[in-house]
Amino acid sequence: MKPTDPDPGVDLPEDDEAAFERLERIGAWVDGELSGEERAAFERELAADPELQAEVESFKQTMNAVANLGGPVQAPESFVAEVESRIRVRSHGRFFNDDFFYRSRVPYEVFAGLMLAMIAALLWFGESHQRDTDLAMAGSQQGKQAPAPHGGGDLTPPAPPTTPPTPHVAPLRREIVVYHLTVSDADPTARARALSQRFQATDQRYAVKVDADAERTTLRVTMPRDQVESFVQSVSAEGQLRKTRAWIEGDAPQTQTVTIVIDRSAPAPPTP
Amino acid sequence: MTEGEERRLVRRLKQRDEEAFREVVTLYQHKVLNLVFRLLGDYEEAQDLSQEVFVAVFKHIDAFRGDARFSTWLYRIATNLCMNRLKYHKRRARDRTQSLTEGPEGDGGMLPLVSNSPTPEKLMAGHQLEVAVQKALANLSEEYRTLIVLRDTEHMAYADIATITGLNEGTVKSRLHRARAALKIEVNRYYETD
Repeated sequence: MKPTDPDPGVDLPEDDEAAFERLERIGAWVDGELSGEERAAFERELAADPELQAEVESFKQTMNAVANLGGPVQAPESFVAEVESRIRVRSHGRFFNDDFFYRSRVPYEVFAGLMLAMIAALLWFGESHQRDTDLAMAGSQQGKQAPAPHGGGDLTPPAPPTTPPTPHVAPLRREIVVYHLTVSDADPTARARALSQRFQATDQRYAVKVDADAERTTLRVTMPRDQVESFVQSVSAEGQLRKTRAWIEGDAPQTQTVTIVIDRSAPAPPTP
Repeated sequence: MTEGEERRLVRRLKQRDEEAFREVVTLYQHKVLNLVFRLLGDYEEAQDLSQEVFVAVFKHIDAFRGDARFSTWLYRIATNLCMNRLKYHKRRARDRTQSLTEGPEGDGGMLPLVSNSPTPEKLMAGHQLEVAVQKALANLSEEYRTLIVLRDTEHMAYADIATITGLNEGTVKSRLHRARAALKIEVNRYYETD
C-alpha cells in the first residue's frame, strides 16, 4: 500500500450509495471524528430518527464483533524451532554467526586443488619457455638451424632472460639480428685464445665465454647492443659471417651475444 | 520493551546472534500469528505465512534503519506478505478463506468467542454475527480488510497503521471509515440473503 494508492472503493448498487454515505457518517460519529457542527447536526437527527438509532446500534454491534473476532490464537510450541529450521535450510546453515565462519570458509580440499593447479600451470609455463630457449641456444652454439621458437625459420634468439618466465596476455614481439661467425683454423684453441685476448684488450672489455672440444672452440662474446655492429665489422674478416633474424618477446635486451665458432674442419673463408 | 532494549536487540540481530533471533520469535510469534490469521482467515496458512514473516525479518534485518519501532516494521512485513498472498489467491480465483471458527488444531472446533451474551439465544445471535463479519471481511478488498484488522481487531494506533500501510494518517482515517461502511453493507447483505 502506497500513499498514492487509490482508494479501492466498493462496488455498490445505486440504492446502497446512500446507505454507504450514512454508514460512513455513523462511523465517524462513533469514532468522534465529526466536527462540532457536524456532530451536533448528527445528534439532533439521531434523537429524532429511530431508524438511525437502530442503524447506529447495529453498527456498534458489528464493530464489537470485529473487535472480538475469533478470540486470540496461539502459535504452537514448535513455532520457534520451525522458523529456525527454515532459516537454516534457506541459508544453507550460514545464517547464524556461531558457525558462519566455519561453514562459509572454502573447504581445504578445494584450496589444495587450486594450489596444485597453480603450481602445475607455473611449471608448464616455465618448462615450455625453457624448452624454447634451450632450442635457440643449441642453434646458436652449433650453427645449425634451430627450430624457430616463435615461427622465425632458422632464426635464433639472443641469450635467454635470467628472470623466470611469466605468461603474457599479449606479448610484444621484436625482431633482432643475430650474428654467427665461423672461423677455420687448424688449432682452434690457439686461435680462440688469440681472439679472446684481442677482445679483452679493447676498452670495452667484452665478456667472453669459451667452450671447447677436440674439433672446435666456441667463443660467446657479450656486449652492449649498440656496439654489436662495429664489433662484427672488426671480426668479419676472420671467417664466414652469417646473419640471421630472430623474434623476441618483450623489450629488447640491453646486451647481445655474438657467437664465434672456430672449427678445425670448417671451410676456409673466401679470399677477398 | 523499551526503545533502548529494542535498539540492543536489533543490533544483536544484525550481528546474526542466534539467541536474539530466538527472543524475537518468542516475543512476537503470537502477535504476528494473530494478525496474519485475521487477515488470511486460515489457521494453517497463517502459521505458514507467519514463519515466512520471521524468515523475511531475518533476511532483511540489515535494511531496518530504525525510523519506526521494530514491532511496527515487523507488522509491516507481515501485512505486506498477507496482502501479496491475498492477491495471489484472488488471481488464482481460489477462495481459500476458511471460517475463522475452525480451531488451530484443524478439528473444526470453535475458537473461543468473546461475547458478553449470557443467553443461548444471544450466543447464537453473536455467533451468527461473527460468521457474517468473517464473510464480509473476506469479501472486502485487501486494503479495507487490512485497515479494519489493524485498527479494530489489533487495536493499533493510527500512526503505526500509517507506517505499516504507507498511507498518511488522514488517509488511514478516511479510508477506515469507508472500510467500516463497506463491511457493514456486506454484513447486511449476508443477513438479507441468509
